[in-house]
Amino acid sequence: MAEEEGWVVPFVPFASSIDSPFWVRYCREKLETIQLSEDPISLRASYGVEGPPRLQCQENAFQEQTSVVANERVGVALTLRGFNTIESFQKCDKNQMIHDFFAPEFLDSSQSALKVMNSVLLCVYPELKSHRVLYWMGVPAILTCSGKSVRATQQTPLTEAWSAEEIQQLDNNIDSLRRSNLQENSQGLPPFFLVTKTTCKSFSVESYTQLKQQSTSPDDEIVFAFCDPSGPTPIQPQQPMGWPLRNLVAFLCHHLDLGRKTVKVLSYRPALIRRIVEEKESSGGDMGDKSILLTIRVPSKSDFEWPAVDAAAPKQHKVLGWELNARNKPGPRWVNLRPLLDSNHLAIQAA
Amino acid sequence: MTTLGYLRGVREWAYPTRTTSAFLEKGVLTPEEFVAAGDELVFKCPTWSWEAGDPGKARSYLPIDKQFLVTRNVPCQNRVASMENHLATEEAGDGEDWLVSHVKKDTNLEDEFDILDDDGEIMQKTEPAKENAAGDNDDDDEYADMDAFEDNNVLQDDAAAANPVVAEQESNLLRVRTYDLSITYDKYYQTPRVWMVGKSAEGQPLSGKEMMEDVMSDYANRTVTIENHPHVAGPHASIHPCQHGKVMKTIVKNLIKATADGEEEKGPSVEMYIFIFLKFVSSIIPTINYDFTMDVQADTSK
Repeated sequence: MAEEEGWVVPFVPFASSIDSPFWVRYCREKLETIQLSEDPISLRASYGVEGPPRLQCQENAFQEQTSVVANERVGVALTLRGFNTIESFQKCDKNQMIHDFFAPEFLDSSQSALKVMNSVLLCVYPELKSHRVLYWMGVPAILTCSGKSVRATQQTPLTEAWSAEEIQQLDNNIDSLRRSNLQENSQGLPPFFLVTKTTCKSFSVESYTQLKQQSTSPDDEIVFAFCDPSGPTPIQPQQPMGWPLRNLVAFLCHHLDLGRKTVKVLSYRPALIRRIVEEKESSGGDMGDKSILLTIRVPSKSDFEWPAVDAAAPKQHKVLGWELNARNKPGPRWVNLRPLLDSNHLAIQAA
Repeated sequence: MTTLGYLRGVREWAYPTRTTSAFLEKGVLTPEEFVAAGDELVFKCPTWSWEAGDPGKARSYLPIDKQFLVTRNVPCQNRVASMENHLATEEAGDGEDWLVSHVKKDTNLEDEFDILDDDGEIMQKTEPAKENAAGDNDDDDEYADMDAFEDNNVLQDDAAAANPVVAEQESNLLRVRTYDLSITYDKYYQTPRVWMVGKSAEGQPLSGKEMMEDVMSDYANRTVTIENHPHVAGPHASIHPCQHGKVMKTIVKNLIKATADGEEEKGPSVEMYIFIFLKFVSSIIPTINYDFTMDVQADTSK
């Protein structure tokens, strides 16, 4: 019965948070440059570590040069699929779409997986005449077969597991990783990273094997860390985890060959990082770190392979992640841009 | 947005850039000082950050990546009207608190003023009704549409869904209006200028009228107007900067007076400008809880 140990890790999905200037800009681009093209457009979005988990799209997503991600945020690749008619928006098979967007690249190689793990899909139908936009955001994550969900066996607040000095060291390490990230590729916070009690490395197969070779003492135990968008929430038993952990676990299984192994994961939930590093030095106090160390049993590769309807057909992977609408049902959302775009409305406001 | 707005833009463009510091004498800033003060704000309050905006609209006198300051999703729980009523009943007349301006009790006066002010009187009268009707239709549409668009075949992971109680708490956090605030540098008035654009609790953009509900009624549609943001697409509510210099000068004078009791007579540094400024701005938009936490060490009495 070893399979049934622990509990199923609950995941908190992202909520879309799209700035109205983003839509104003999109509608302008649609009229002036995109026009009838339905090709996917590559843009940028981001999420923060302050919680609650929100995927934010800003107007600057449309500017190529200024892809700099703001303070202490994780940059995300956003793929925008525009539709010209409401029928095509509706008819398009969403499950197939998010699967094709994610699964092939994720399974192909570790490099392409790392890229697509940190990406989001946005379907849009702009109703230009009535100044409304219908949109549906999907944050793809690969789904384990029913009954094979990711299970955790132990959860400890980081403040109990590590000493204050070790946490200080961790914060400093993450801060310098953030800074070098920002300088080298203007990427802001890394979504995933590798930590031990003494080091902090960017997340890749190479740095994992490197760390693995160096590790000799228990202090060097490798912890897989991710920036948890849930923010510093009060710790409760069976704490819900941020959405990015789903793909992190799948990556450990598919590209680091850790299937059926037990690993430690750090759900990093700091108060704002720069503040921690600078104010901790002056005050030396507890900055309300709510990070959690989680012991997880990684599912095996076969746990991700769903049997096809036709027994002879090859097994398939399933991808989920479409956001729920305002009524908590799977469906798109409307945004009403009349106050911002309708010339009649604007004229009345200006008077 | 309007011709007037365009003319103001030309005036700002043609006006020479201030090069000498006059913070203590006039309460104004040079672009360099604006950047220094902005850096300090971003440093002390990480919810604020610099942004570049549209490169085509970048101002040459500011660094390309530091065109304006932004803080997003600032919660705004109550409308100003409820706060003003509260104050009115609570005897607002101590006259000492510069944070709260005169409180208006009579709203009828205001209504009359609006009608007189508007050149299209008929439009003004029918407009609210029309807007309501349209709004109602929208809501109906929305719900009807939503039903039709929902797709229950979409994959869900019920086994690993977060506890609904948590989800509920999470969404409660979002059940308020939120604002994105930005601060630009106005070259003509040589002061920072605040812009805001709001979202309803449901995530829909707010109209200008709705945004005015979060501005002290003394300032709504007078000091605070709807204009196009110089860097970001779409109309924003903006606090007109014509009085900013004067107000800042008065505050700075008080600060100097307060510190002069001791030995030094230096007054606040330029880096403090935006903190003091934001504190003053919160008297105009008191219900928007943005971050300017910092000890401004001086009392605000006159």
